Amino acid sequence: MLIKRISGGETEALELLYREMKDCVFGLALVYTKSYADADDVVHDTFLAVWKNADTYTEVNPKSWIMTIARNFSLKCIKRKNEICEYDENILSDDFSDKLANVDMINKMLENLGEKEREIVMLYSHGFSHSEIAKITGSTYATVRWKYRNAIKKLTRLFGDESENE
Amino acid sequence: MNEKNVLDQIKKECKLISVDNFERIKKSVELENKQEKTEVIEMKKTGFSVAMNIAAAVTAIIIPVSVMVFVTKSTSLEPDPDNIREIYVATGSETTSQSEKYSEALNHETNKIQNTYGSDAVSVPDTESTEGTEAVTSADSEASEPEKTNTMTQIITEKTTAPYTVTFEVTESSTYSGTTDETGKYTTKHSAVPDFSGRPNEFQSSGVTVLPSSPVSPETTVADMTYPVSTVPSTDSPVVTLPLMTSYVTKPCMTDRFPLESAPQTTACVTNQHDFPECTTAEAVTTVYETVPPYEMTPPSTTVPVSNKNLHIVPGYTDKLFSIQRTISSSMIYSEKIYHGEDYDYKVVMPDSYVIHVYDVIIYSYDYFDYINKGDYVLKSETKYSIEEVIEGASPLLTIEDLYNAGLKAEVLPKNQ
Repeated sequence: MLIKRISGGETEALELLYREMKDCVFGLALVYTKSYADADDVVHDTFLAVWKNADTYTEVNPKSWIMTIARNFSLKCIKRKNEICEYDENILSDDFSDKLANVDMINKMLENLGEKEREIVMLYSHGFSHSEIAKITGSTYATVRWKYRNAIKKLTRLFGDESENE
Repeated sequence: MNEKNVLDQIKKECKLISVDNFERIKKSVELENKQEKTEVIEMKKTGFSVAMNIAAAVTAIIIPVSVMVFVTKSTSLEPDPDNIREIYVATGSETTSQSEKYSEALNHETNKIQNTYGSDAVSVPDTESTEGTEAVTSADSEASEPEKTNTMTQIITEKTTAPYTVTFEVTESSTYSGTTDETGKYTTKHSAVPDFSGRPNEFQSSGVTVLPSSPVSPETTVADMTYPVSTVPSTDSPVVTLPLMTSYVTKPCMTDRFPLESAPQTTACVTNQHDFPECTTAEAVTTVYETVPPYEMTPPSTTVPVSNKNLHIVPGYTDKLFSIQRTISSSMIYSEKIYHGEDYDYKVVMPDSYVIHVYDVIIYSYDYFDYINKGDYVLKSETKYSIEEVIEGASPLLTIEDLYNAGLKAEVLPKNQ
């Protein structure tokens, strides 16, 4: 298992895990921070924390553990931003605008969905089940299911309306 | 665009915008490893300095205690000059170091007696043998130090009341009963041979300090505790060792004072961003309880659910539960109704026979995931709805899918049939 090899000090195993999980971690960090640079920092901090604490991990599914770490770092980043200035989650950071050019779906997510809905949809799109998402986000299974359904409804309606308009 | 397309698009776009930045992580990992090594070395140094500090502190405590014990012991052994006091030098096969020690003691006592009673009070003969019934001592005009022999035995007395007398150093002839020899030495006869056999015990019983023939063990065991015996640092006075008479405090057994108790099991309260405690419905499938817990919060009009009812959490709420009850009476007319769900339609037979009970509860447990199974809640109010009331209206509480998943008997039909 990769986590075992990482706890043994293998950076190659860490690299394999990074390549496998970076998209999901980045996406989750992005839906929280709405900043490309902050999301990159969160990815860096997450995998560094995985490296430091791999020997303490004892469960079976490391992906949920990694995503929980990523979520915690994202929330810390937001908290730090709140302390520095009043953080408006509706405003995208400047360093992100040029990168949004080819990512319509993520753009729509960031503009139209709430924070909870964004994180649930992001995690679900990367293969996590409702119960896993409930554990990662600290919500209940029912809430996750309910919010996911509402979010998907919104997104499909948005893209459905757009395709109708086109 | 359907759900699957949306999810695939999200995944694709995440892959597009996330950049491979593993080099940054690798550098941090290397830096982390270097820092750990530095910390280990510093910890070792810190540990060493801490150990040195502890050793210094212990030494600072032990030395004053030893000094105090030594001072206490020496004052208690002050000799009483009115009593006959004899210092017995052990005989037998002595080692050279011991004989040196004893000769030092001998010299010291000699000087002491000379200072107290005058130089004539005592003299140290060259040799003395205990063989035979007569102890012959010889005095020499030139006093010399006694030869160190393995069988040297000597008793020095302070008073001349003993049956055996101390020889005097003479330089001139005197009226002695002894005989003179050619060298001018005078010999005296002791009227009685000193008996050394039982003396040590007598000395001990009278409080006299006896030098032991073998070194005292440095430790004395008292009950189950072992205390180090304080030894007097060597000075001019004879070295004496005594076991410490110390009292020890019986420590209470830790298990008696702090009986082992299993820690109360606690579970954390998990809250979402809105600080609403939540629990999982996956675990709250069924619950059976018969009486309301006797708490003050229990309102008098609370309805107690009967047993064998399935309780489910209303989605989006933590403190709202619902259950489905069906009662069919003979007077009811057969009817069917199709309810439109999101992905399917549901045909329900006799929808009027269903009653949806919605309960508002107060949770008093920290385990928001399993409070229903544990019964850690109290009912606050109950409201009854029909199927239409609960799934339609301005603010529907439930969907037809929720009811179907909770046990509503319905036929699932494809959409738009």
